[in-house]
Amino acid sequence: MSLPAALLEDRGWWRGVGLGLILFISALPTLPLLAGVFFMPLDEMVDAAQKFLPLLASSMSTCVVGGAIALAAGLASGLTNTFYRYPGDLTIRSILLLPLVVPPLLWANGIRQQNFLASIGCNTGRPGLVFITAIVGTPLVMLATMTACRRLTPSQCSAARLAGGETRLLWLSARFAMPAAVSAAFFAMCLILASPGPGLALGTRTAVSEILLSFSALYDMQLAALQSVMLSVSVLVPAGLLLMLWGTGPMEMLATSSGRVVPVRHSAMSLSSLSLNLLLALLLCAAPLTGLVGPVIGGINTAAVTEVLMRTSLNTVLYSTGTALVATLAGCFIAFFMGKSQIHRKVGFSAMLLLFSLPAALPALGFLSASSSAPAWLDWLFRSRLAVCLVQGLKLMPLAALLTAGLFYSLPTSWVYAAELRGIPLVLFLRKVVLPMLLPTLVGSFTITFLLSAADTGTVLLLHPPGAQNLALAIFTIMANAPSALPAALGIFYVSMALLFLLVVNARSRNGAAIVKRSGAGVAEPSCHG
Amino acid sequence: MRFLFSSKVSKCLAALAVVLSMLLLHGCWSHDQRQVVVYTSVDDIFARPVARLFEDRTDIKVRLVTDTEETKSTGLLNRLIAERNRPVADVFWSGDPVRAAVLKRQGVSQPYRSPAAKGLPPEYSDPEGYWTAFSTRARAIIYNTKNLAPNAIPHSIFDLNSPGLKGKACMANPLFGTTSMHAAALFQVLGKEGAEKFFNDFTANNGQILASNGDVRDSVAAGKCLAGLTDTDDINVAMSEKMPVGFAFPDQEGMGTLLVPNCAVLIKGAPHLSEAREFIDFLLGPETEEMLAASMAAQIPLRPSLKGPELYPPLSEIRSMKVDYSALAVTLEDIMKGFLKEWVDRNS
Repeated sequence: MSLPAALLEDRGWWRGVGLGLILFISALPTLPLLAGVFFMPLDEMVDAAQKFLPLLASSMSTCVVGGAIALAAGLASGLTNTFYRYPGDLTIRSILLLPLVVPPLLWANGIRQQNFLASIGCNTGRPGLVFITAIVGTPLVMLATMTACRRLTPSQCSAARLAGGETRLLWLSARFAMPAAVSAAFFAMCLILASPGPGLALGTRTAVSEILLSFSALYDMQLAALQSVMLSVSVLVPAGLLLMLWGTGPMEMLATSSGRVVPVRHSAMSLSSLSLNLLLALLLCAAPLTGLVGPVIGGINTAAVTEVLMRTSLNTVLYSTGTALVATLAGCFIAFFMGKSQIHRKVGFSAMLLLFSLPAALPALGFLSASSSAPAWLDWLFRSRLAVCLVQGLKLMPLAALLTAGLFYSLPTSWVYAAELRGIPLVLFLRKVVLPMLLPTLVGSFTITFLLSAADTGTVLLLHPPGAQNLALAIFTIMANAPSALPAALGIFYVSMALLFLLVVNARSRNGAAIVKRSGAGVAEPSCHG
Repeated sequence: MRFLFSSKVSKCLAALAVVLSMLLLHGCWSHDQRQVVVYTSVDDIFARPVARLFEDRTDIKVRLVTDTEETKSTGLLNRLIAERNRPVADVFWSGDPVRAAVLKRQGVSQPYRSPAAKGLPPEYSDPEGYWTAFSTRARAIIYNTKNLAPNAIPHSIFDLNSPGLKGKACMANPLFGTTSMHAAALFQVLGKEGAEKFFNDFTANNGQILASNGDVRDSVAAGKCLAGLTDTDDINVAMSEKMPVGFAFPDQEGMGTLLVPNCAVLIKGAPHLSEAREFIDFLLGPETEEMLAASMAAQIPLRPSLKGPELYPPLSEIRSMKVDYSALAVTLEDIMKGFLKEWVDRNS
């Protein structure tokens, strides 16, 4: 007996079960360590919490400032990239996306050595950390803004232009995209909050570097677990505010549409767009990169570079591909189980945010402990490259779910009931109708998680099978005392590959939008939010 | 979109899935080739050539797992401790005795007295055989030769607290790596009061705490600091890159310079025991000591008869700090959770 298509409209208990099961599996690696918190003596717990709280507050405030800058810069960049063509827009946009795919630690090292940024006091301490948050947040906000604005129809844009010219269009679009942009900025804050590298590189004590200290210097797993829980819970407060303000609206906006809005050439606005985006690219990307690449000017050892690349390239691709597959599939299932049910969506996203804000070391260490207790015949799961992909993939799953959930939510009810009337089973409906619509989102989700996982070092260090490093980890293991040209050359290679990848993705995305415009196709029911 | 669901594309996707699965799961099953899994906290750039030489000399494949700079990760040591019930590693090649001692306390290592250790002075090794020391670095003072007058060169760690270096002295975070070992050694040698006074005076003199020894080297070379505490391998790298730095072995007239020897540790329950022993024998042999001396690590052989690095004198010419290496781990544990943690918190 096949499942009916109308199941997609059902808000039954099975959604909660499915959601709970996937979230439980995602949380499983962290549970053994988190459980240790409950065995801490109460007075010790209170004392540790009191000492950690000021640091947590300070870290959050630093990230909030950086997030606010990212919001302003990313929103402006996203709007101009959505509506206007300008010379070199493809290249500049790809450069702007680079910080997403390069480890934040590498960026922090770059800005630390950059003289111009030193002259404006942005390369160390809290100002440096604010800058890093802005660097990582701007491309995320830009992407979110562009994705949200593509849900506007050409007639809506024309109406806005008629009402008050380009200024009116930009203002209304900014208002429309604000929920998605703020969510993206918040997401960037969570990324930096959970990343210890930048704080350590810039000589600033942060909440997550304190957690790292508890793990790696004090070997106090209970303390580290308690601090991790506090960090995650603290993220829930602003997340809760966002949910109260906008509900799950931002998620709908991030469902990739077929790109009805196509950027146009406009004499004044194209020039302004070029200036703005070029400035952002120079300040946020080129400046840190010059700090990284300076050492190669004196010459590089090509044999050493080749050896490292030969050793790590396949692993990098494998880990990233496997991680992206896991994250995308898991995110898809989560989105399916959340469906259109508001309560399931709110609970689901809150739980995923909790998991996402936990330091990456926590699930990795949990997996390690499990691997040493598991029998040898389970080594294919616990002690292979698959282990890295599973842990990384489940960590990035919230991002994939965020991108996918909106589409399931906005699936037209009439389509579902039409299929139900015709007796079309659920599986066929999903395969023939939902999957083609979902494909661009899945590709986007795969791409983003692929790139983010390539930059991971923490999980790979703890879980990779001996001799199977990825390139990012290799760079960080050799940078201690290798001739500075070597890690710099590898860093350049890494950034170049990432840039090439982004250029290809951006070019295909533009071609896709052009094809849609020429064919006149689009989603059947236009939206009109904001 | 139709093409994505054609049988041809489905077959290609299926084939890709199979290949991906095979590659992801590769390595889970035992291989016929002999192998040894070595975890090391020694810098990758120094450890890898040694591993390759061992591979060339034997038919044993070395699967090397290296660590990132101390403060950048959760650390290989945590991996070893987490895996202790069913270890993956056979050998831990430690860059200092403290990590080796931690593993002993955690029950992760087992004793092994290698026949190749002949000629190595026993005072740096564990008396019960849980680690054997070879090839050493030293904690040294690095200074900027352009901006520091010759008569202002510090020759003692206490000179870093002098008025002439106010705000211009630096050290790496003492909660990690060899700086933590140095801190523990100071507590052992100077006593609690003496050591705390040193650190408090450092703070009072506006000394800077940087992320790592590499950062100390770079900061002094760039002139941001005039002098700092770091390791001899960092200094050798700086001088080979023609950075404007000099060095001094501190306290040669006083308590002496702390030596930081490498340590070979056999992991308890090592899956490849005989290969692990062979690798440790190779590590402890004179050839490895000479190789490390000739490399960029510029490590000083513990065997007095061996040729040392060009930059540094033989051990016999360096007054070394008298420490009980076995007890350092205990001292470190005490101060990490106490004074040292509070001191770093106050100053960062």
